[in-house]
Amino acid sequence: MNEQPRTLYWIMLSLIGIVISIYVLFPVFWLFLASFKTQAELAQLPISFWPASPTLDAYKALFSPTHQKGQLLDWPQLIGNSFFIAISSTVIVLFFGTLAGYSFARLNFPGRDLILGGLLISRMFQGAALLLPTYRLMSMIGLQDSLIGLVLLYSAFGLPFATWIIASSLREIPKELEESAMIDGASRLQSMVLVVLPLATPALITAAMWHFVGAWSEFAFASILLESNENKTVTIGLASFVELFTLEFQYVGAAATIVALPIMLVFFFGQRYFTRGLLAGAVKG
Amino acid sequence: MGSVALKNIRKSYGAVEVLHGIDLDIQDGEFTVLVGPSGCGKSTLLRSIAGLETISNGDIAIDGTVINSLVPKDRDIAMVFQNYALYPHMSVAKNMGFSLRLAKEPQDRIDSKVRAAAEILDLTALLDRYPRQLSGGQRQRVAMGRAIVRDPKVFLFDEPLSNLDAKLRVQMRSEIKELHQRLKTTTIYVTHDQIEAMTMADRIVVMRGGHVEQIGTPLELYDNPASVFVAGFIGSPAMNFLPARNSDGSLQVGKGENLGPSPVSLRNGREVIVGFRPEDIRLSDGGLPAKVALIEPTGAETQLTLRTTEGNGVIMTTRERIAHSVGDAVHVAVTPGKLHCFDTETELSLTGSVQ
Ligand SMILES: Nc1ncnc2c1ncn2[C@@H]1O[C@H](COP(=O)(O)OP(=O)(O)OP(=O)(O)O)[C@@H](O)[C@H]1O
Ligand SMILES: [Mg+2]
Repeated sequence: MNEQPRTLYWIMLSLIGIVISIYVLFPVFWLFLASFKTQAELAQLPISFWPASPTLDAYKALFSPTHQKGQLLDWPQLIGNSFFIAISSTVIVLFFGTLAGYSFARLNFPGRDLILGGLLISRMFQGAALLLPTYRLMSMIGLQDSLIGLVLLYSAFGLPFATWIIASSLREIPKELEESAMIDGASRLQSMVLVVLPLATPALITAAMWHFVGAWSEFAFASILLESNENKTVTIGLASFVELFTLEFQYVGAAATIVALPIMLVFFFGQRYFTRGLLAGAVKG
Repeated sequence: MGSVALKNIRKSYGAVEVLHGIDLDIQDGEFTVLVGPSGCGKSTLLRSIAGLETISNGDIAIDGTVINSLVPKDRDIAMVFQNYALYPHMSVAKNMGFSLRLAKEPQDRIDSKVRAAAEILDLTALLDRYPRQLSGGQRQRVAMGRAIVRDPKVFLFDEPLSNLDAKLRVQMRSEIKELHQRLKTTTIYVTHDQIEAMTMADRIVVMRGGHVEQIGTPLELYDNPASVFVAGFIGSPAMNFLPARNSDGSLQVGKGENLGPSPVSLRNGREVIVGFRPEDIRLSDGGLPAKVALIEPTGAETQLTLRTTEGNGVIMTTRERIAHSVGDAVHVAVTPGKLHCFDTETELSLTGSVQ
């Protein structure tokens, strides 16, 4: 093979990749840098790119009690709420998704494949179309302005996909492993916990990451369902800057950075499993 | 102790019955091989004994106790799977000790049992490795180790050697056999390889289409096959079959060439299938005329493929060196007493005790 065209090809490809990355990441990066600037620096023209004298004032302000009094939203509380919602619904989704995924992968019951397919299709009807019906439904059962309500809602939304990912990865695990475990003296539950689940870790982590990130950054349902300030989430907090601090971009930057942090951490630690999990699910099913 | 008794075992998947009433008695300590072509129900039968499949009808008893309704772990059996089914996330030692851990045995007992089994199987140096770090033969041995640490009443093997290359297969064959001679545990071994069946079995069960075709020691099956199917399945190269007819007590093929006296008294003129093994024929001056179609020397033996005037192929093996070349016209004769005779319709043996 000729070396030169190949190298050229790679250089071109990398260049395109870099350009796209810059295009996508520039606003994010700019906001990140803005969080270290002062109000004065942000207001001045021409716009500066690097902060002249980096400061953590914006972060301190977000977490200081005096700031909260004036600005209505209590950021430590928002973060706590978001963590509560994202973590509890992830736990619920993982627990039921594992049981359901196992059943779909291993047990024989009438309509199994139909239901599994239906689960996936149900994801297509999510989004804006469900906003109002969901609001009606949640108010009817008295869960409209409640974190628990949102946890249940997110869990319901997240379960189909988690079940599907877990089921397709469990299908890849030879059933002889479990049969062998059962002959070795394991109950069905033991064989699942001791043999199957350890082998399905990538899929479980993928499902958990997927759901956590989705729940953490969900905005539409949270914004129509949550009314009282002490129940709001970080995404609502971010959106409220539109009204509150039109000119105070350093706060927006700081808040956005804080909100992005858990997601970045999740991806950083889960990346390895994430690609493996998606691939495992992609081979079959 | 570990005798196994199967009575009228039937198994259906939906409307399809794949085991049509299997009866089988296995003595304590016996090495029984289930053999038969692909899809004949060997694995299904073995898995039914293990409790991995529920049978539709019949009784499975171990040591006289019916175990139909027991779950696998309560049947006191161990099974080695074709793909070994080693737990990938556990070391060799953990794999082998898994059943003991589940049984809540104390750790030092587990360790000593695992070490003893590893000793027997020459796995001591590999105890800390993971399955992915082992060769096929080593994995195979770990799978056996996992079975023997439990000291079960019955070992079940489902084609344990079919993933190994030919040389390793022969080696593991003798290892399994030696292991059995040492432990004397009742063993049921599934294979579709008739050589494995012949070399390993105390008794062979030939299965076909969900039925037991014949049960016997390897040599019984070889010398007195109950049907064309068994005769053709056991032995390699396979037995030759030709359409023949009885003429005054002699079996004649083709245009009246005489193969020898019928081993069984038949109505004059009756059509039968005659069978004879490749090593039971030799070149001679008279007898069945044929042409040499192929000569395959292996050194110790030479295999000749002959074609009769009617175009039927006949295989012959001989330890003598052959002076003929392809295309030569020859005559073959069957060693006296080595003819088998089968019914044309039922394909069942008409010969000897099986009559
Ligand atoms: N889960 C199942 N559902 C439906 N039919 C099955 C199932 N498992 C096996 N069968 C059928 O049962 C018959 C016997 O299968 P079995 O696996 O016991 O054959 P086998 O003798 O072990 O063959 P091989 O040598 O290929 O392993 C086959 O016809 C197979 O198609
Ligand atoms: Mg099989």
